[in-house]
Amino acid sequence: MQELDLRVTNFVHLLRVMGIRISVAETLDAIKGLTYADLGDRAQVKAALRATLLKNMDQLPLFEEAFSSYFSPPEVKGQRHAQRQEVEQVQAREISRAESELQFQGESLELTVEQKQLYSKLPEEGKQRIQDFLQRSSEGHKLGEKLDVNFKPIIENLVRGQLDYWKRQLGEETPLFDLVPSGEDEMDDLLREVADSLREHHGNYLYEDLKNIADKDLPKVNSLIRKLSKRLASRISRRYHSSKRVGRLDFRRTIHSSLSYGGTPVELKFKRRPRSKPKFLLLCDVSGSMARYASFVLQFIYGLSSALKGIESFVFSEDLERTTFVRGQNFEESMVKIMNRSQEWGGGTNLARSLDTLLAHYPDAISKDTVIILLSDTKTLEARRAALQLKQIGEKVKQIIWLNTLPRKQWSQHKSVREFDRVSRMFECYTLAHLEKIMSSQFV
Amino acid sequence: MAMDLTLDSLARSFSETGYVTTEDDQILITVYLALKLGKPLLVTGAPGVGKTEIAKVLSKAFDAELIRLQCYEGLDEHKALYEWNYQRQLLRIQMMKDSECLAEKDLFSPDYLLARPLLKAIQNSGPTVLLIDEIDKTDEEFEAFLFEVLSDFQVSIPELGTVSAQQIPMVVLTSNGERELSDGLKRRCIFLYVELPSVDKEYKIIRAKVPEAGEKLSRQVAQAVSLLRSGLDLRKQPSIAETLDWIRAMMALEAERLTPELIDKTLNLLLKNKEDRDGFEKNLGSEDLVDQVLQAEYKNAGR
Ligand SMILES: Nc1ncnc2c1ncn2[C@@H]1O[C@H](COP(=O)(O)OP(=O)(O)O)[C@@H](O)[C@H]1O
Ligand SMILES: [Mg+2]
Repeated sequence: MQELDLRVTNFVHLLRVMGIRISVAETLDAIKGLTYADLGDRAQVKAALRATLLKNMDQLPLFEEAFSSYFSPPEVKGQRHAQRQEVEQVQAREISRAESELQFQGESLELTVEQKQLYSKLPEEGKQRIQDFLQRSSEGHKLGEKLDVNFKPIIENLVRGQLDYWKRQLGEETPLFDLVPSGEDEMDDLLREVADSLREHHGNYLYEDLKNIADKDLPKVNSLIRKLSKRLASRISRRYHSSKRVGRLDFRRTIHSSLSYGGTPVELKFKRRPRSKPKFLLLCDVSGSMARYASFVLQFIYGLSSALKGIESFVFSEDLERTTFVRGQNFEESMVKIMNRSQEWGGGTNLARSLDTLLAHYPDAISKDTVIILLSDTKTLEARRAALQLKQIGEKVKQIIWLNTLPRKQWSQHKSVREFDRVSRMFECYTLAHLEKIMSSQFV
Repeated sequence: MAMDLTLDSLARSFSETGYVTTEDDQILITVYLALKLGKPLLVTGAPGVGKTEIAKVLSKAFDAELIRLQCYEGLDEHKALYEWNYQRQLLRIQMMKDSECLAEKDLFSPDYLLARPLLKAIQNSGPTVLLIDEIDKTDEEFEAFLFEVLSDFQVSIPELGTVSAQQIPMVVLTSNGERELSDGLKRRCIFLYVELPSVDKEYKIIRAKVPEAGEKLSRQVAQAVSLLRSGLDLRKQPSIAETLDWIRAMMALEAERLTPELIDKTLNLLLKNKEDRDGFEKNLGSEDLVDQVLQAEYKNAGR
C-alpha cells in the first residue's frame, strides 16, 4: 500500500514537471481510486489515474507518454539507467578535453560547464580558431611586454564572447518540448524519454516553431488554430452576457423593500448591468522578417474572423492595410484575394506609420471596448514613436495584447521588445503550445 | 447504492439499457470510480457522443430520480436553485393591504418558495441522479456558484435558513468543451472524456439502437462515417445521433447496402452543414466513399 502511494506521488511529480497542474486533493483521489481498480490490469490503472489526474484533454498525449515511460517494465528501466551512465561518461570526457584545450599559458580557463559543453559541440574549425587565439595570446605581447597571468580574465571574457557567438550560430538545441529539466537525473531521463516519444508519435507540431511546421502537419495546425479561435469566441460571448439580461427586475429585492412601504412595490430593484462585449482589432505584421510566419498569420486572421463577430483585421509592414474578410467565404479564396491585392506583404516594417494610418482612416476602430491583438516580432523602424502611439492608444482601449513571435530568450537582445513590452501585454508566441496557453488564459 | 456496486454489475446495467461501451473508451471504469469515490462525474466531449445519455443510464440502473439542470447562456442562481414566487407574494400583499401586520416571514415562507433543480436534488429523499447538462454554456460566475453547491450540498436561504441534503446525489456534469471550465470545478470532479466512437463501437451502437438495419448495412454505415470523419476537414463532425438519423433514413428507403445513390439521397441527414456537403462533393464524393468502404470491408474479411 505504502509503495502504491509512493508510486502515485512520484508519477504526479513527473506530470507536474511536465507542466500538468495537479492538486493534492487530486493526488489523494488517484490513490484512493486505485484501491478500486484491478492493479494487475494496466488499462484499469491507467484509466483510474487519468480520470483523477488529467482534466485537460489537450495534455492527453503528455499523459499517455508519461504513463508508458513511468510504468515501464524493469528491463526498460535498466536500459535507461545504462544509457544515462553512458551519456554521463561521454560528457565527462568532452569536458575534460575542453579543459585541456582551453588554456591560457598552461592554465585552464574559468568557464561554466555549459560553456565547456558548447565548445565540444563546435565544428572543428571553430574549435581551432579559439585554440589559435589562445595560442597567440599566450605568447603575445603588449607594449613590448609579454602578456602575463593578469590578462587571463580578459582572455576569458573574449573566449566567452566567442562561445556566445557560436551559441547563436548553432541555434537552439532540440527542445525538451516545453519540458523544463528538473535537475533530478532520474526525472530528467524520464522527461527526455517522454519528449523523444512525443516527437516520434505526434510530430513536433505543437511545440515546433510555427515557421518550421512541416507540410504534413499543416492541416492539424490549421484546425487547431480554428479550434482555439472558436474557444476564445465562445468564452467571450459567455462572459459578456447578451443584452437580453440587461437591467432585469430583481423581484426578491423589490418585494423585500416593498415591505417598508406597507407592501407596495414603490422602489423597483434591478439586477446589475453586464459589462459590454469586447471588440477585436487585429493587427498582423506581414513584413519580410515575418514572411515565414505568413501561413500562421493568415490562419490566425481567418480563424478569429470566422469565430468572432465584428472583428476588424489589418495587415501592416511599411504601412497598414485593411483585410476585409467575407464571412462564409472559404479560407483559400479569401486569403489568395488578400495576398494578391495587398501591397504590404514582405516589405520593411514601420509600425508607427501604420498606426498613423489606422488613426487617420479608421478612428472608429478604437473605442473603450476594443481589444487590440498585435502579432509581430517587434522589429520595426521608429520603434520609439510607435511605442508612444501605442501608449496613447492604450489609454483609449480596453487592452493591447502583443503576440511576439520572437522567443523570450531573445527578448533581451532587442530594444524594441522592451519599448513595446511596457505599453502592451506581451506574450511569447511562436508555437501552437504558446498560442494555446494564451488563448486559454483570461486575457479578456 | 454504490456500496455493493461492482464493475461487472455496472457493465450489465449499461448494456441492459442499450448503452454501448468498449474497453478502450474507459467509460465504465471511470463512472465506476466516480460512484465509488462519491464524486461528481464531469463528462466532456463533442456534441452527440453520448454524454447526457450516461446520466440517464445511471438513473435507470439505480432506479434513481433524474433531476436535470439544463444550462444555457444567462442561467443564474435563481433559475438553478430557487426563486420566490413573487406573483403569489404580490397577491398576498394585495389581500393583506388593510391588516397592518404583514411580517416578512409570512411572505418568505416555504409556501412561496419555488424549488429549482439544484434545490430539488438537495431536498429529494430518494436516490437521485443530478444531471447538470452543458455547463460550458453558462459563465464563470455561475460555475463558481455551482462549485460551492457541489462542495457541501447545502444551501442557505437567507429568509429560511440552511437546507442540507439527506443523501448526496450522484452528480453528472456534461460539457461540449466550448470553453475551458475552471480548475476548481475540474479538480473536484472525476473526469471522463468521451471520444467519437471507433468503427466497431459505432457498429454496436447502431445494432443496439436500430436493430432493424441489417448487419451489413450497419457495418458499412459505421465504416463510412468513420472515413468521413477522418478523411475530410469538416466544420462539424457528424455525431452518433446523426449516424443514427442517417441509417434510419436509409431504412425508410428500405436499403440493404450502401450505394452512391443512397448516399446522395440521404447525406444531408449526416452532414447538416452546406459547406461540409460541398467539401464532400469536391474532395471525396459518394462513388469514392463507397469504394473505400468496400475496400475496408475486404481488408477486414481478410484478417
Ligand atoms: N455509447 C452509446 N450507446 C448507445 N447510444 C449512444 C451511445 N452514445 C451515444 N448514443 C446515442 O447518441 C445520441 C446522442 O447522445 P447524447 O447523450 O445526447 O449526446 P451528448 O450529450 O454527448 O451530446 C443519443 O440518442 C444516444 O442514444
Ligand atoms: Mg447532451
